[in-house]
Amino acid sequence: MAKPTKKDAYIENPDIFIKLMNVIDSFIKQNNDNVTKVDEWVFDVENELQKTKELLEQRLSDARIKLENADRSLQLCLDIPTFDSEGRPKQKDCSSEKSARMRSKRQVDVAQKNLNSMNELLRYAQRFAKKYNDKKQKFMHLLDNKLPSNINELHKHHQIMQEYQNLNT
Amino acid sequence: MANSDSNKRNNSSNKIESINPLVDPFHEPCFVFFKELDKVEDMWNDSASNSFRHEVTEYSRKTTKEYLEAVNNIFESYSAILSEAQKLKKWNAGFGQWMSFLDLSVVAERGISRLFFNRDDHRF
Repeated sequence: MAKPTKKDAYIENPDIFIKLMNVIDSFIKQNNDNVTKVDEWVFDVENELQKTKELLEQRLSDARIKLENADRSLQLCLDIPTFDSEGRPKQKDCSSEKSARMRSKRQVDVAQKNLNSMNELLRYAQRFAKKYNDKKQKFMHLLDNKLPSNINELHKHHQIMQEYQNLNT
Repeated sequence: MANSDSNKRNNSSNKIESINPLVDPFHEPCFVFFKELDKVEDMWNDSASNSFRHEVTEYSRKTTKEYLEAVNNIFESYSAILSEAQKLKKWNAGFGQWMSFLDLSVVAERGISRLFFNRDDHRF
């Protein structure tokens, strides 16, 4: 018997619909699991980024408190008058307080800068997440709606094929 | 020895190259799925099969490809962002250490180089 040409309508194996339904079903299940794993990884990274942000916020808060204390110490040093042995006002040496205040100010500046950088990283992360979620939504539509609907169509084809085969027996 | 080399070559041609831990698990199910769908043309030919090829095979291939590219992108960009965030956690972060520009090439390619290259160098 001559093999059907491309112009002819034919089905080589009546079980093709069952096979396709199984393949599609397996694809849906496996990829649903894989998407869940991707989502878990994304969540873990986002959680880690959030924790880093909280740590940097805490560091900034600590640095500010340290700066306030250094300010108070310096002010105290400047405000309390000192006198020499003969009772004349003496200029007090507050260099160590000034130096401590400068170090604290640097720490605040750096902590603020690091937090700003972290916030910027988070904004970029949000942008990347949005791009990913757009594509994920489309893929999930394929897995949850489109392919199950295609399975239903294949099921109808399979039923028609069975009815046709029953007619011939 | 020659056989062993030949086997290695055959195995490597069958095995899909690893990309990253997020994308890799999709390889096998996608490979099997599209291999089976591609066989449809030879086994089933009528107007319904044409519609199937267009509606299922082509659409699924396009959507899956786009999704896997998105997975790959988020893996690379998130890994780079996480690596930068880890550096900010270090006790000396912002106190003058140089950023690792080479590690950032992936992120830089995606247009966020400004973030890192404009960062002030706090060396006191």
